[in-house]
Amino acid sequence: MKSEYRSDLSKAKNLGAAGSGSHHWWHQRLTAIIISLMILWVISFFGDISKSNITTVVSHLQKPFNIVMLLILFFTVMYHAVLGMQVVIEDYISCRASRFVLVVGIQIFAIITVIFFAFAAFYVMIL
Amino acid sequence: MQKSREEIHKARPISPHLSIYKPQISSVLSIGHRLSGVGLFFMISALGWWFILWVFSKFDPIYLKIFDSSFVRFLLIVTSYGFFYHLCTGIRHLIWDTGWGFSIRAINYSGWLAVIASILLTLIFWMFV
Repeated sequence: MKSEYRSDLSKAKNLGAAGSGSHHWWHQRLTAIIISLMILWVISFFGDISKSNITTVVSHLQKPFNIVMLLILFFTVMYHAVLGMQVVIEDYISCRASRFVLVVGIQIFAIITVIFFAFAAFYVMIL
Repeated sequence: MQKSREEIHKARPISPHLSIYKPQISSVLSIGHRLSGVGLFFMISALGWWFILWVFSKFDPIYLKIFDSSFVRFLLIVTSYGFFYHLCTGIRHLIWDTGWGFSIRAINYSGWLAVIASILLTLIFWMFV
């Protein structure tokens, strides 16, 4: 692209014609940091349920704090995984049609999984 | 005769030619980060659907029986290593994103550090669970 076709403001913003594009990269990092920090909760939760039977595990899971943390963690992990899978698919699948089907298919699969997971988690909580 | 667009497209070199390179700590860890990420996507999906189906089956004990199988246990151990590996190399990537640690020496050092840390974290995790 000839540089004179772009305005000074456009060049300064460095976003190109679409006006966006870097948010995938940024969200990938943001979710990575959130997941890394939430490991502290995972460790404390595993410490609580360590070597206990399944009814104790469920009763620990029924605490609202734990259920909310589990939901945030599962959503963040799925979002992070979808972004990562998209990068891998875009790098290795050269056929545009199958690339599109795979990326959108994984996104739809992840949304359905998160919705069902949320319902299951709330069902456990109100048990 | 002029070549068609398709022929020119096919004749283009496809990089990177991974197979002609000697495996190095940097390249192996980079591929491992992607591979573990893809594996973790499938495992988190499987575990998520295990939980959904277990709850919606009104806690059918058959869902707990699968953890007695040695194959499932092996899969969980591999997954836990994949998770800690992805965590360690992921933190390495986050540090790189701040523009830090790009010398060859630092890359080799942090690479081996990530490998050792991931093995230690996996061992510690299974000692306590």
